Amino acid sequence: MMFERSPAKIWRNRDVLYRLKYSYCRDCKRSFYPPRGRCIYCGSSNIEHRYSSGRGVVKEFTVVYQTPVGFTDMSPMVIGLIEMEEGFRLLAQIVDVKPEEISNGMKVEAVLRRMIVDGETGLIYYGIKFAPLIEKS
Amino acid sequence: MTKIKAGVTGWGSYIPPYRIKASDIASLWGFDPYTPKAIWIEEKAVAALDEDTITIGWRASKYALQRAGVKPEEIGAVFVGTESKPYSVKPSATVIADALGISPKKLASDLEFACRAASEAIRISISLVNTEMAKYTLVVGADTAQASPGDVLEFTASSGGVALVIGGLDNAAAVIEDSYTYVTDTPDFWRRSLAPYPEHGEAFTGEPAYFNHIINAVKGLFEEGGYKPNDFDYAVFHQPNGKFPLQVGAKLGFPKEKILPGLVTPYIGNTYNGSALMGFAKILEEAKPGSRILLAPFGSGAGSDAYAIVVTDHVLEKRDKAPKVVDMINRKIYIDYARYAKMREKILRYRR
Repeated sequence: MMFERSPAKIWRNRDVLYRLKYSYCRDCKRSFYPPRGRCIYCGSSNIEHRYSSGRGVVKEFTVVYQTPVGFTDMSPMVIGLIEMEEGFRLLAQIVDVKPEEISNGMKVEAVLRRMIVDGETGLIYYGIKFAPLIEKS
Repeated sequence: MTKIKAGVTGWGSYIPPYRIKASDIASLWGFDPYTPKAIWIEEKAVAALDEDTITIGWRASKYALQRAGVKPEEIGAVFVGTESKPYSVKPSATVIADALGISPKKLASDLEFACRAASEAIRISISLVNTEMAKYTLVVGADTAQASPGDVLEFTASSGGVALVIGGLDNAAAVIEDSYTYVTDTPDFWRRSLAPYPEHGEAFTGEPAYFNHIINAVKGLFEEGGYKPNDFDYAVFHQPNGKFPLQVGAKLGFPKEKILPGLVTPYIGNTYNGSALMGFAKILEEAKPGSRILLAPFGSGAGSDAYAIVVTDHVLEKRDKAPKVVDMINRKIYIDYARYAKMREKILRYRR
């Protein structure tokens, strides 16, 4: 999801940004994100909106050094293609791991993080990034 | 004491993986190398640039709900105890609640009482559950603690959080038997509006503040509930450093063997509103059912609560449903002071 500094847009999309709300097509049995009213695969409008478990794996990733304005403090930024348990994929930032320690297939979980901080007085925009799954003892 | 019919239905914690060694801080500012050892602090957890009380509280809450086995819509109140609110005006509780799918039909607010605000939220939650005004409540204690660069506070002020789902006795991992609160106006530690860092009364933070309030809260609990130290298997006190909890425990008659299992500050620093609750969470992940825990958070300003809490059989089925405190203590990415200064936004610069 692109982040725009618009309180109204962020507010309208908060379920998508905070909770990974996605669409499931009852006809072709496929999932996609962000949610839409019509299936991006078969065109059906027989759609159901669901919330992701937040668990997924890294399919591909890249390290970005030339980060855009607003994200320069996060450099180097790791952007990954994440495949969720529910079957859909999305591009998202991967945090809390050194780039050299990321591998394709690594288990990750969705975490709420700051996306953009609008100067000294504006809103703080939150959204979902991904962090390595914490290994349980 | 009013009969309590409430317990801890679920718990969760979160500690950022970034660590700075206390010896690095001592070296940079020219402290006596023995200083960190004198207060027993080895290293502390540091929040990432994109973390704050809301994101830390959200993560701990997510794990607490997993352990509670409670649907988000069953939560009737969300309280965030913190002294590092991302917004001066705009609740953290509403962001956390919406991001977890908790129904709008709820109470929600941020509480401030230095490191004790989350404990006040526990006491409020007990009342709400006892009076059936809420089936479950979510209590969050989270902070990204501030410390002026070079201040002795910088050794310990860290980041982390704990969340508790408070509910009735059914399905409780631990039952809250009794509680007692002791609060006075004591100027031991404060931060004025718009001030970036707190001030503290040096030695004054000890005897008249930390020790006086915890000792009186615990003695009050003992007197009204008929308890004595031997009735408890564990004792968890607010832990501004590694030394104070052992000292206050000794004054109250607790051997260090009952305190050390819940003492986490030497390894992650003082997570403020998460401090005593982090030790409590760790004990819930280790204690046998039937164990009785003394929990005594403290907040500057000043006040302390003392709780007698008994672990139930349900704790066993809940433990493995989320990462444990010890898992997060052991998950580390070491950073130097320069990276710490960047992450805690201590570098003055022009922002575009």
